[in-house]
Amino acid sequence: MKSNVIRIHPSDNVAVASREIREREQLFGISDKTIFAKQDIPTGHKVALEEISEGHRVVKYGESIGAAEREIHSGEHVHTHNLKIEEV
Amino acid sequence: MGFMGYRRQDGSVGVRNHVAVISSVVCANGVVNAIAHAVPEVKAVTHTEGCGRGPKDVFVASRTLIGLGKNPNVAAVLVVGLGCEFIKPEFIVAGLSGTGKPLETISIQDKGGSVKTARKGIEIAEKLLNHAASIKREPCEWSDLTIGLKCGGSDSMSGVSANPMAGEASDWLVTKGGQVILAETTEMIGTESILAKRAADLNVAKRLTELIQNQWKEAKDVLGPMAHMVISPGNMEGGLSTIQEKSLGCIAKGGSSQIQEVIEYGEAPTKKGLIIMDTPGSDVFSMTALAAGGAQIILFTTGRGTPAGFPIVPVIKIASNTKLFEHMADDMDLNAGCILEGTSIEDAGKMLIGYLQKVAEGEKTKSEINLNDLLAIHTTGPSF
Repeated sequence: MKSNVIRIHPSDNVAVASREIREREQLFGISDKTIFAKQDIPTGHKVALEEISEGHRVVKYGESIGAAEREIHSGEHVHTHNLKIEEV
Repeated sequence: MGFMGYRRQDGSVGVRNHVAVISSVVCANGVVNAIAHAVPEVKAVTHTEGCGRGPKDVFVASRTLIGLGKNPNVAAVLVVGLGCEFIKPEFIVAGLSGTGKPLETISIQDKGGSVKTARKGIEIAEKLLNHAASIKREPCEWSDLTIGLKCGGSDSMSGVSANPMAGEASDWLVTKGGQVILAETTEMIGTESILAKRAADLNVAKRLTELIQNQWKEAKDVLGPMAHMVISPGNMEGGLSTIQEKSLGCIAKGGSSQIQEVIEYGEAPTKKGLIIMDTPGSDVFSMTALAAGGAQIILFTTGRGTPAGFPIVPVIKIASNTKLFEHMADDMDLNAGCILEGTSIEDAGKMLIGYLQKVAEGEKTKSEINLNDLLAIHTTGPSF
């Protein structure tokens, strides 16, 4: 199956949709686990690869890009609605 | 195994063998263009500076012009001035005296007008081209190479495909002992603590942090309520959630090496490895600084597409998506869109490194073929 997500760094807990992903579609491109999308994920948007508890770091490029504003489930769309924008 | 390059007397190595005809001041641009029109093998280096600016801008413009003359891709230099300007040809040539390159100057007021000056300039240019033709490529090391990094017209995939692909080449060149210059301070906002952790020492960490924080302060002062637009609604629609995420996507071009040094606009690095240069994000200002700092090749990632090239430096254009690569095929050199279709970032990086070697040994990039030679020197003060 052709991949539909990209995990940029091995320690990332989110991956990026390389094309539009529909709800309940399986994520391909991450070898180690079976995950289904919990919602539609637009191209370029992020999807959680594991459970991320409230306040825990969302990791992309191997670095924190912010904190989970509430519990985020594996397969869930990660964006401004559940990821806290840290002040610069 | 390295590559076949042009070794200069000062030890630096060119991937091109250009004769540069440089204006010392904006007033000489017409004559420089006339020379380049008559002798198209030379490269015209024209700009808007040279006079009517405050001391800081004059200093930066002088350093930049001297840096462009020093660039290893340049075999010989002719500087054309007017006569009454602040930055005189003799001053630029004095800054190039250690290079061992043939250096010539002419001034329009001295020669009696633009036609006579152009005629003399053409004669000199032909002589310099003969000199350049006598220099042959010889085996050189990758440690002789400096690449500059740039992104422009980014899209939501730039940070996922093209920038990590460039990052692979950056890490590769650092392991080979070369130099990689990551620029565009605006694009680093929010990542100062991440970059500081990668600094070679405390001093570099301190400079980096100050640099990025000052840039953020300046953005707020100048742009006011627009400052937060450094992450724009368009970025968010594309899937970017935070400023840190956007900036991490930008700095991915630099790979994951330790940061050895932080340098000013157009300044030459003194260390090998990954270097950070303070430049604006604006494409042409940034490319000019990278070339003045000694970059022989620029890697330029883009999602929307741009034709931008540079007179004396080959610019490798990397498309972040296949649609752009096909749509602007005349301007794009490589397609990072393959990463979105299943190619690993590592394999895409290998493809880039292979192409980099070809360009280093003379293969022309699209912007070189199209003669998209753009150059502009950054200024911060008013003109007088």
